[in-house]
Amino acid sequence: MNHKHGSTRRYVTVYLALVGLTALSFGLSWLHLGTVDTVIALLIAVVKSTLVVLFFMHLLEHRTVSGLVLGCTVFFIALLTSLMAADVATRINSTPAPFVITGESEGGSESARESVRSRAGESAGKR
Amino acid sequence: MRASRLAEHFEDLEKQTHAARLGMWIFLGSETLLFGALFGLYGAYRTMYPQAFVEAAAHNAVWLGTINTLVLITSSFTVALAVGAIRAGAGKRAGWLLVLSLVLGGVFLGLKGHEYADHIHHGILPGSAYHFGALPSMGANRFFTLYYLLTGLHAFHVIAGMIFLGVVAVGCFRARYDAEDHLPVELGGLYWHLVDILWIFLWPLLYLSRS
Repeated sequence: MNHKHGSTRRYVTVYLALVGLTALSFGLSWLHLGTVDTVIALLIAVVKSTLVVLFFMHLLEHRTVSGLVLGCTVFFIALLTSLMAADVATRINSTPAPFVITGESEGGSESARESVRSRAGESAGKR
Repeated sequence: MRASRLAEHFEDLEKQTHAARLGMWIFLGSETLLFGALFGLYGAYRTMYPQAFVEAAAHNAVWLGTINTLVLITSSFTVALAVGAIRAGAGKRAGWLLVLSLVLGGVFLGLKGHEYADHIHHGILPGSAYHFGALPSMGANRFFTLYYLLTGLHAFHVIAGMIFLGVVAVGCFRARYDAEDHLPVELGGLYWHLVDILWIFLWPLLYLSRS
């Protein structure tokens, strides 16, 4: 019985921390900090998921085996996403194909052509 | 009853439980890699179209996404409480907590469906069906295609998790589990927490990246 009450209190604490971190992430998004914004939000997400894994998923109790699997998962996801990002980021020429909306849309083709022109200028400026 | 739970290729129930738990973790790991491929695509396309991704994310209803985040976190919390309850032998309590989690899962899907309907109404559809006049760019098209892939795959996992939790909840009400013997409740909980964790990452990528 004692054990049960202890664990309930711990779950409540973790839950409040998760809600607090969600509020923090939400609040920060209104400051419009640019790309840093996404990085901070993802770091908060890592902290939140760590809390979920450690306490809700009981990783602390079954540390060895589950930890090994979790470590492998995190490693492979890091490998996959970082190598994909590195590939795109280091390409010499990644001028996208022109994009035109087909079908019925409100003034679509005019604005689509406009956007293709502006994006061409943007990518020329980037190189 | 107790003896039949132990499959003959295991020495004892404890080893069998460990094996089941390890199997679940490996399964969850492979699920995460499935999403990892889409996260990788998101990173790659965001590198190609940084401005369009920010503009497109700004079009998503941040309030809906945030409420859904809170809904899923709360449901994860109630599932954790349910596992705590069944560990203490309180089957009925665990059952009701699981029912509450199911309701929260339903709320999540309802809000998601509302958002989908709104997007479709504006012509925001995946791939070549996209005809949203306000954001007529390749980047926005890629963003919303990924939005549908990520949230759609996630929604399937929510539905699968709800079926899993529903079956386990029925078991709780029928007193099929007790303080020592409740492995399905724990495994269902693990699956639901994974669904929660995935959304924890989807939320900042699809809703908060708008500056």
